[in-house]
Amino acid sequence: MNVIETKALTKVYGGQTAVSALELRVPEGCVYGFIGPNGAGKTTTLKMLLGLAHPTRGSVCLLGREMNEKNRLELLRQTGSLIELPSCYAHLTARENLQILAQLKGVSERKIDRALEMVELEGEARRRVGEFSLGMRQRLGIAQALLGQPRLLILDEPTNGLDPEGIRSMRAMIRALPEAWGATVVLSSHLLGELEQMADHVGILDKGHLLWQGPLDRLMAERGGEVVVTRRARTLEEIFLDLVHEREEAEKPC
Amino acid sequence: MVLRCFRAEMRKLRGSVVWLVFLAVPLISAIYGTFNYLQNQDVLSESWYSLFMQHTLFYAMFFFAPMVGVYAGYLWRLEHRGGNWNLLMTAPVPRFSVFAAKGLAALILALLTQLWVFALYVLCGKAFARLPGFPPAEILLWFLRGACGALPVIALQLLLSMVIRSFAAPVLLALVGGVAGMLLCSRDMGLIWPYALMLLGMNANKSENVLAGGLCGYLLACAGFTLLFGLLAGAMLRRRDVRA
Repeated sequence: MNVIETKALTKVYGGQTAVSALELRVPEGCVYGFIGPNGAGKTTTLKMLLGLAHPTRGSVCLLGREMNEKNRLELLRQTGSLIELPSCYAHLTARENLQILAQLKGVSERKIDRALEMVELEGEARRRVGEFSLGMRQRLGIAQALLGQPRLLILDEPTNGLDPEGIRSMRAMIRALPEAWGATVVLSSHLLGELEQMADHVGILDKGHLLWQGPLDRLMAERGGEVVVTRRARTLEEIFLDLVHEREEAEKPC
Repeated sequence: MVLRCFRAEMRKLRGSVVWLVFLAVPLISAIYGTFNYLQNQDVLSESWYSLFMQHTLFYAMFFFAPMVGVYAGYLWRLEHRGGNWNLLMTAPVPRFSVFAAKGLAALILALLTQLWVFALYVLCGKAFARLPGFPPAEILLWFLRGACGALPVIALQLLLSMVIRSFAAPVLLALVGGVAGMLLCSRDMGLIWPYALMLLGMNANKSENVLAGGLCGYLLACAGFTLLFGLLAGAMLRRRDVRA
């Protein structure tokens, strides 16, 4: 079953197409890496998945149901997200921030400790978020997304602002989520090396167009063996740049 | 759902600077009003009514609308700063509940402000003006009517602060709105201007009941404006893309 399916999903801002006829397919229980350079349309797409932005055309299906006004609340109840910046109320403590979200989500406050532990913030629960570093705020944002163990997690650039140690533990935590409670994780990043180590499925986006999507293994098998000259496996970054280049060549007028 | 959002809103207000405004502004108005009363006792001869006029002169005409503006502005500022719009709009609650909960929180603040102003009025009347007995029950009713008049101001200020990301601009608009309300009231046109309704309800700066026989129209105007601004906010929240 696909946890996310979009049909011809398109977003146009003032005549500029940000996302063009996207047909996303995210299988259940995977870590799906949404790859693309800055301005590729990743955040816009994620926002449309969550109902934060209205599609100009096309539709979104989450967890087998169409994302519309009727199903919105039911779908959001099963979804956790971190979009753009981590959200927080700086004058309140980390725990109070999570208590607010627990109240809105209708989740028991007992689950707050678990969420804080998962992002290694349990020791900072009573500290005002205004005193947090960017990395700690990012962890708090991820804890907010994890609260209530949602079936679907949508994380936009989740490793932003984290130090190398933080990135490593976040990577391990995200990779473990499908097994921990069967969650499906969609994460976006422009750091391809980073996603290569976390995702088992990828979708490659450039200038609003989906260039490729599917299992990472298949992508590496299909495209990774092409370079014979260098006699080494190609990285996701190299494959990505090839795909972008191929698309640009195809778009050039004859 | 609204109650769940309302509890979250009240939690956000913990330890916030908005309580300072709540305490300080009515205090300024009470000090000024009492001083004015004590200086002009020869012409202000209607005991509790005269003190009421002096106390509400500045509070209702100049301070109340901007104070509600500060309350509403603060409630939305929390969301405008720190990218909280995304968090709020991906929470499994109806979009309008968020607005309604902020409205309830602002109403609680406005009601507490009215109570605080009333308490200061009684305190100043007894301790400094040394007035006999207690204020007439009618004056308490005017305070309650003033609270009804606060509803459209709350709805309008919440709508403005939701749309305008600046904190100061909607507060300034409230000040201008309050002054315009005073002018419209002086021409018996208060019912058509949301900022004038609180002035009318409070009977500000008047010792005779300006709404005698016109309470129904007043309450209808309060309900109508509140509904209008609430519906506008609901439509905007539903149709507009979220900008964090």
